[in-house]
Amino acid sequence: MSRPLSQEFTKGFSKTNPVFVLLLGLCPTLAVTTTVSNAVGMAVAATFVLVGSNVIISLARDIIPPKVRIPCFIVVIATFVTIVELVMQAYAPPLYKSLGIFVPLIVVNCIILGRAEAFASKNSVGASTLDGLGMGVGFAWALLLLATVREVLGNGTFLGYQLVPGFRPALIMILPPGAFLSLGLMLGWINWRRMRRERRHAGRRTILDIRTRTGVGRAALRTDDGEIGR
Amino acid sequence: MNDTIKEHPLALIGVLAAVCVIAGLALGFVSMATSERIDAEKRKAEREALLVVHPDAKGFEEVKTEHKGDGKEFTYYRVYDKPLDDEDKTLVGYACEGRAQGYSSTIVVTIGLDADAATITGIKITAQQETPGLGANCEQIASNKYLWAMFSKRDGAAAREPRFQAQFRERNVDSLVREGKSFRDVRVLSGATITTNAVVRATLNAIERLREGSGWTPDAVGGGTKKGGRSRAGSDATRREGDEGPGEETE
Amino acid sequence: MNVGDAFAILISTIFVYNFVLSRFLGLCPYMGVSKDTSSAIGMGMAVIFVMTLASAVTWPVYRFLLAPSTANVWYRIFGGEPGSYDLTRVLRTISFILVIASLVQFVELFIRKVSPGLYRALGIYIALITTNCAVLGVAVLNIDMFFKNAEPVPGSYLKAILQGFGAGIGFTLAMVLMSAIRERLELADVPEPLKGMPIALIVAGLMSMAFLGFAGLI
Repeated sequence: MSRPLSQEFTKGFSKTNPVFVLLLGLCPTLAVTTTVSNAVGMAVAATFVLVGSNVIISLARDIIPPKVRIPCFIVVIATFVTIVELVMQAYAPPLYKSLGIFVPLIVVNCIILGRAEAFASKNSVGASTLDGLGMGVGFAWALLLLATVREVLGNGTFLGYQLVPGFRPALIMILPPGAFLSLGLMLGWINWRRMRRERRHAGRRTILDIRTRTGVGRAALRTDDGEIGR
Repeated sequence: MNDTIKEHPLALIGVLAAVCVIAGLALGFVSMATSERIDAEKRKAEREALLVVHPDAKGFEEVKTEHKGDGKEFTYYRVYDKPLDDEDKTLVGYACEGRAQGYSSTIVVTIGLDADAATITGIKITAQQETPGLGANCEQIASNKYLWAMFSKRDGAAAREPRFQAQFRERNVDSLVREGKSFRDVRVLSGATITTNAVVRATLNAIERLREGSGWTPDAVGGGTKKGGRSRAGSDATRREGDEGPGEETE
Repeated sequence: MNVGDAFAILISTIFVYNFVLSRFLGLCPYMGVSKDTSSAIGMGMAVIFVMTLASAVTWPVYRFLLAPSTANVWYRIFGGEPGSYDLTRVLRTISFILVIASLVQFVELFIRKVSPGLYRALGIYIALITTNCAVLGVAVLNIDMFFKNAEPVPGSYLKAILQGFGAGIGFTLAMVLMSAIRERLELADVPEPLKGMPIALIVAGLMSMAFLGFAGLI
C-alpha cells in the first residue's frame, strides 16, 4: 500500500473522479440527470453495487483464477445489480420506473468493472471498500452537478420544487442535446481551471528559482499573474 | 492458492460454478424477502389508479373474462359504492385499461365509466415514457410548491390531479369526436399533439374494449343502457373477493 | 410483420431514437473510438454484428427460459401454474449479460479461426463492445417493447432482430459522422480547455440537436 487509506477515499472525488477525469460511466451520467432525484437514486444504487462488488471481489481475489476472472466479476456485479433492482422495486417503485432500463444497465457501467479489474482484484478489502466508496461519491458528485444544472435550467425546478415563479425553462436542457452540451462545457471548465492552476504553479516556481539565485528581496518580486512571489 | 492449480480446467470451472451457486443463493434469498412487498406495491398502484378514476367508490371487483372480440384474457372492474361484502351495494360504474401508441412509448390509461358506460368518470395514465418536458407533461401536476416549502411544515398543494387528465372527468363518451388526427374540445399539451391524441385514443380503446369485451349493448330505448355481459354468453372465469352470483344487477 | 412495421422500426432506431444521440446507449466506445473514420467504420461493423446477434439470442432465452408463460421450458418440465415461473425479475439481468458475454467470446474465437483478415479488421473492437450499454440495452429494450404480459406480440422475434440491426446501424451512422467531424476538428483552432473530450461532447450535443429534427417522423 503506497497511499494512506484516507486518500483512497478522497481520490475518487477530484483527482480521479470517474466521470470528470476518467471519463467512465457516461451513459447513466447523461441519461438519468434529467432530475436531481433521479440522479441521487442512481448514485446510491451504483455506489451500493460498486462497494459490494469491490468487497466481494477483493475477498475472493486469491481464489479466482485469472482466466475466468472477467466472467466471475460479471456474475458478482450482476448479482448486486439484481439485488438493487429488487430492493428498488419493493421500496421505491417510482424511482425504478423513472430510471427505466438504466437500472439493469448498472451492470455494464464501466466504472464498476473497471474498479474491480484495476483495484479490487489486487488490493485488500479495506482499501477496496474505501476505493468503492470514494468512486461512488465522486460519481454521485458528478451526477448531482449535472442534474442540478439540467433540472434548474431545463425545468425551473430543483427536486421537484419550483425555484423562481414565472420562469420559462429552456427545454433543450432536459432533452438529449442539453446533456451533451452541459457535460462538455463542464469538462471544459474543469480543464480551464486545471490549466490555470498549473500555469500559476509553473510561474511561481520560475520566480522562486530566480530569487534564490540572485537573493533579491521578496517585496520586489511579482509572478506573471500579479501575485507577490514568495 | 497455488498458481498451477489455478490454471487447471477443473479449477476454472469449479470456481465459476461456485460463484454462480453463491450468487444464485444470494439472489434467491433477496427475492424471497422482497417479492411480497413488490407484489403489494403493484396491487397498491392498481388500486390507486382505480381510486383516482372513481374517487367515491368503495368496492372494486375484478372480473377476468374472455374478450368477446379476440378471445384473449381480458380484465375489467365493476365498481360499487360500498365494500364488496356489503349486501346493499350498487353498481356505480366500471373501470378498464386501454392502450395506444404514443410518441415514444405505449401509453396505458385506466379509465372509469359510469354505470351506463356512457360517461367517463375520469382517467389515469398509468404508463408512459414520453418526452420529458413535452409529452410527459400529461402526468405533470402544476407544482405550486416552491423551494422554501421544503422547510415549512405546511403542505402547499395536496396531490392534485394532472391538469391534462382532469379534463376528462364527467365527460360524455360521445363528445370525443375525431377531427382529422385530433379530437374536438380536447385541451392539447403544448408541443405534444401526438401524445395528446394518443391519450384520447387510449381512452377510446379502453371504452371499446370494455363494451366489446363484456358484450355490452346500448339499450334499445336509448339512454338507459346497462351491462348485459353476465347473463349473456360470457364466461366469467374468475372473480376476486367473492360475490354472490350472476344476475344480481337489474337490467 | 409487414413492410410498414419493418420500415417503422428501422427508421425509429436509426434516426428518431438513435441509440447514441437519443437514448445515451453506447457512449463509452462512441467517445473512445470515433477519432478517425476507418476505426469508426470497423467498430460500427462489429457493433451491428454483435447487436443483431445478441437480439437474436436473448429473445429465445427470455421466451423459453424466463418469461412467465406456458412456453416456458421449466413449466413444461415441472408443470404447475404458468404464472408461477416468473424468473424474469431475478434472472434477466444476469442471464442476458452472461449470454452476451459468452456469445461475443465465441464469435471472436470463431472469426479468428475462420477469417484472420476479418479478425484483424473487427476483432479488437468486438472485445470492447461486450460490456457495453448498447448491447445489453437493446436486449432489454426488445423485451420491453415486443412482449405484452410475457407473451410475444405478432412478429416479435423478427422485430427484435430488426431492432438490434437498426440500432447497430444507427450507432454506426452516429459514429462515422462524429469521426468525420473530429478528424477536421484536429486541425481546427479549438480553445485549449475544450480540446479533446469537451469539444467532442459539444459536437455530439449539436448532432443530437440535429437528430431531434426527426422527431415525429414515425
